[in-house]
Amino acid sequence: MKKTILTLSVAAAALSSALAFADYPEKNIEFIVPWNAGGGADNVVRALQNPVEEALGTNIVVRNISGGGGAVGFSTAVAAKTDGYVMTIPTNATFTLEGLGNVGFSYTDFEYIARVLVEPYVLAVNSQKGWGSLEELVNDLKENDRPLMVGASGVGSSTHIMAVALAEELGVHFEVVPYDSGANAVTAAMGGHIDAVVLNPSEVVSAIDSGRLNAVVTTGDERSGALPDSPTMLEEGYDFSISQWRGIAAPKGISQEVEDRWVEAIQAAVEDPEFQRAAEMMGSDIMPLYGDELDAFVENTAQLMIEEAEKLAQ
Amino acid sequence: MNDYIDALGLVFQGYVLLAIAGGTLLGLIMGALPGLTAAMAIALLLPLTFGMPPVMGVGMLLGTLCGAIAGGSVSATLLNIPGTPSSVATTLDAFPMARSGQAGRALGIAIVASFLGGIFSAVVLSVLAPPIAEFALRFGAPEYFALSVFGLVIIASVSKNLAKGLAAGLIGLLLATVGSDPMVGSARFTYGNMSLLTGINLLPALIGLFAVSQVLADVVDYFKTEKADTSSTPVDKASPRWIEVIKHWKVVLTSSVIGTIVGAIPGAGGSIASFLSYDQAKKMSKTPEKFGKGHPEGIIASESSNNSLVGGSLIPMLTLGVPGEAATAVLMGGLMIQGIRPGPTLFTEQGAIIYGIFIAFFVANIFMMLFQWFGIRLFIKILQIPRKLLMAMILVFCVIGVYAVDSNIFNVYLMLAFGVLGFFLNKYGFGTAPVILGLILGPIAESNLRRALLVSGGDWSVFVSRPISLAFLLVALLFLAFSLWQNAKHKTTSA
Amino acid sequence: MQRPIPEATFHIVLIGLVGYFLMESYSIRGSAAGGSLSPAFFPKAICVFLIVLLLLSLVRVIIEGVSSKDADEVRESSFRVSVIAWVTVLALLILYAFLLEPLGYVVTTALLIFCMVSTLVLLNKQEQKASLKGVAGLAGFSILTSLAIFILFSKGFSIILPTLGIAGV
Repeated sequence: MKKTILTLSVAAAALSSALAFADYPEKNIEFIVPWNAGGGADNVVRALQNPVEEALGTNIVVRNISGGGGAVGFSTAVAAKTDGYVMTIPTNATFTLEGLGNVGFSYTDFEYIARVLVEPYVLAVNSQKGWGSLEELVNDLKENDRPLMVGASGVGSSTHIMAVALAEELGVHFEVVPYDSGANAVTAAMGGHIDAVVLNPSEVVSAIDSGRLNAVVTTGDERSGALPDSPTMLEEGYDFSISQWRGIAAPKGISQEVEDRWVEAIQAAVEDPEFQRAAEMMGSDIMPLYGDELDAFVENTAQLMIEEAEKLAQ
Repeated sequence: MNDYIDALGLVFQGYVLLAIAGGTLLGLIMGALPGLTAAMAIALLLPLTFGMPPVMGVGMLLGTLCGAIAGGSVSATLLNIPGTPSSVATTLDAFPMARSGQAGRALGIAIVASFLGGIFSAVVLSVLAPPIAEFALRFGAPEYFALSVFGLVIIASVSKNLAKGLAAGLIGLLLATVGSDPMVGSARFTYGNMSLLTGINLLPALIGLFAVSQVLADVVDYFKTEKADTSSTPVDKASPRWIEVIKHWKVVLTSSVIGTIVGAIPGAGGSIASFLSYDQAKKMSKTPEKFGKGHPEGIIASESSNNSLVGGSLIPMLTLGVPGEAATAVLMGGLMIQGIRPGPTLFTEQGAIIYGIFIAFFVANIFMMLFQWFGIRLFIKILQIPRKLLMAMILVFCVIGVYAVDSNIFNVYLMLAFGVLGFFLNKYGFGTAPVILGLILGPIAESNLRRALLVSGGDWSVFVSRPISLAFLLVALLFLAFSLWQNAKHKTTSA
Repeated sequence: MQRPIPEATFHIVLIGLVGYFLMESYSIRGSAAGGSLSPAFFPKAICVFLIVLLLLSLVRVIIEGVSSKDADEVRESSFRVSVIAWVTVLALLILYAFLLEPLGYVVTTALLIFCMVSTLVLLNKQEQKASLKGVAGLAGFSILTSLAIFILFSKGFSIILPTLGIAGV
């Protein structure tokens, strides 16, 4: 008799816990975007919102917590409860903030659930300046021993760090001119006030379409879907490959079940035609990654970005 | 031409018009509440536009943008709460007018002026967008610096006492340096506070300096009045004032031109457009001494310019694919979700859609005016709330608005600090408008000065060797002299 | 002679604050990059100008204060009440900001409205004194207003507000 009760209660407990997880999500999920509405990351989250809501069967409430170039929002996310109702969007900034030494968290404080989008960094030069290819540009800079005025989207941003890293790899001198947004840097480059920009494709595709800027090289593993004519650093013979990415993360310590539910939801969302169209327009490539592969990717990228950011911080 | 006809067909459908109307209404409501910006309103509606046809989705977002900017003037007029930086100039004359029992007139003027400004910019947008975008591209760091100097000169014209006004402007400039340095990233005056790394957020400063300081002043006044005035401000007839505004058509026109062009220069701090127009109107006016005390010309200048700003800010976004500020950046995200990539190809390849967007923008402006026309009687009821309850409610709305900006309680403390500062600045004749000008223009001036020098390799001559920059600096000098002369003349005549 | 003293004090407080900023700006790190200006240049320049202007203004206030004979006709009693009300309202606001996150939006907001309005009523001699009906009315108004705002912002505008975690508020 006792035994039956025991089995029953164990079964009941198991059942109720299974039910508890099956119930996830049972309320709205808060999604922290550590930048203002209108930024690249914010656009991605808004585009993901519908398909993910559908897959999870709950509402996603986007909460823009800007400040400190992402520092405030990420710190809030790290400190949140690990019940799976607070999510955030990790990008390279998650790592560079740590490297710059402005934050109290480390990239290991997050549980990475998925990588959704990847976009390379692109070096785009003003078309009027007459550099048709990366080779021409590098040779010209070396011959005349002049610096290239390169705009980036903010001091200490990942584009700034990448501009410095690119110059080092190419063996030329970039004078990085930080702007307060990618849009302003692009405007300056289009107007010929600076020579070039290092940004993400989404910010330069319009300028490239119009022929005002010319993307001489991108930094991805493969050519970017938005800029199919621009060669990668690898193709140009440099051992250099690093991309901006956007994904889903939660504070460390969420349960496996929550993670699984989210992986399922993201898998469904990336198949959504509306989302695919939005991603294409934003100049991003949908390259989902989950589980161990994701962990390896995060580890790899984090080491690289943190190292580069630390160099800049000195 | 065919594209235009197709475009008309795209816009004039029941659901599309309904969507634009809905967006405008939500924009008006959110814009009227302090802290809720146009960018937030558009971001809120963005997911809804999924699955809508492009012109419908974008039209709804455009309506939201127009509504939010126009809504800001309601709270600026009635309660001295500038919901956005661009309605600060509106408070300068609309609030005193409302206080003197002419709230209906102030709102009536604001509605008509913003409608005319919006329509003007819609015309310019649909006819002149490409050349204006071309002009905007000629703005490099030296030009932005010169433009900001030009803007700072306005301080002389909005302050009653020059030394004090300048001091207030400098306080704004000083506070604008708080945060991570724009060029090399060194922390300045942040004391390890992460929230300060990106500088002092403009909204808490704005709401603190204007709304909170006003309530604090009202608390003092509450006990001063002979027979304690427990009821509310008297209210006049509330209706649009078409004739009164059209009489000042010159002000409407110049202000709309200024608004459209400044709006089209990305990152110029569009909010200064309304100040520039205000200043301009004051200089051209026969009665400059009435400004700041409830002068209709001041309201007209600020309102027509801040609504023409909207059309202007769409120019670089649609033609170049560069959003000038937060609201257009979200809007651009909305376009992309709709499968529309802004840029020059938009005009050649998707003609019907781009013209549809232009027409939707016209329609949004019309809805904006109609809603305000019918809503004006409702808005004015706010002033009939007993004063003690109204004061408490204003504060509650200020706090929630500022908190909503970043979900950060730090902003609330910041707002309170600015409220106290603003109270004393007003009390001792420094004024708060110069502080805001300093806060807005400081970062533009500093970062572009240093950027220009970085690009020129330390050569200061760039500021005078480039025509646009030189022109702005010369005109700034001229205006400064004119303001000083106007002030001096006024002083001698009134003394 | 009533007004110049507080006004001069305000000038002195401002000068003190700006002086503090000036001192602090000497510890801003970072040098001028590529022939441009250093991060500390702007703050220092602004501080110096500001101090000069404030000193000028202060001198003028003192001169005007000495020469003006008519004292400010502030009625003592109402002045004192105003100051008390002003300080109380500000203190309530600080307390409000402090309690907003731990106690949740609805509770704190209702308390703020209630406390602030009662302060204004109690300090005002010309208004009729608190009646039970008045207090109940005010309490109802406070709770309803804060609930309405909470629902508008959290449901209508999808803005996450702090909650106490009891019954959804």
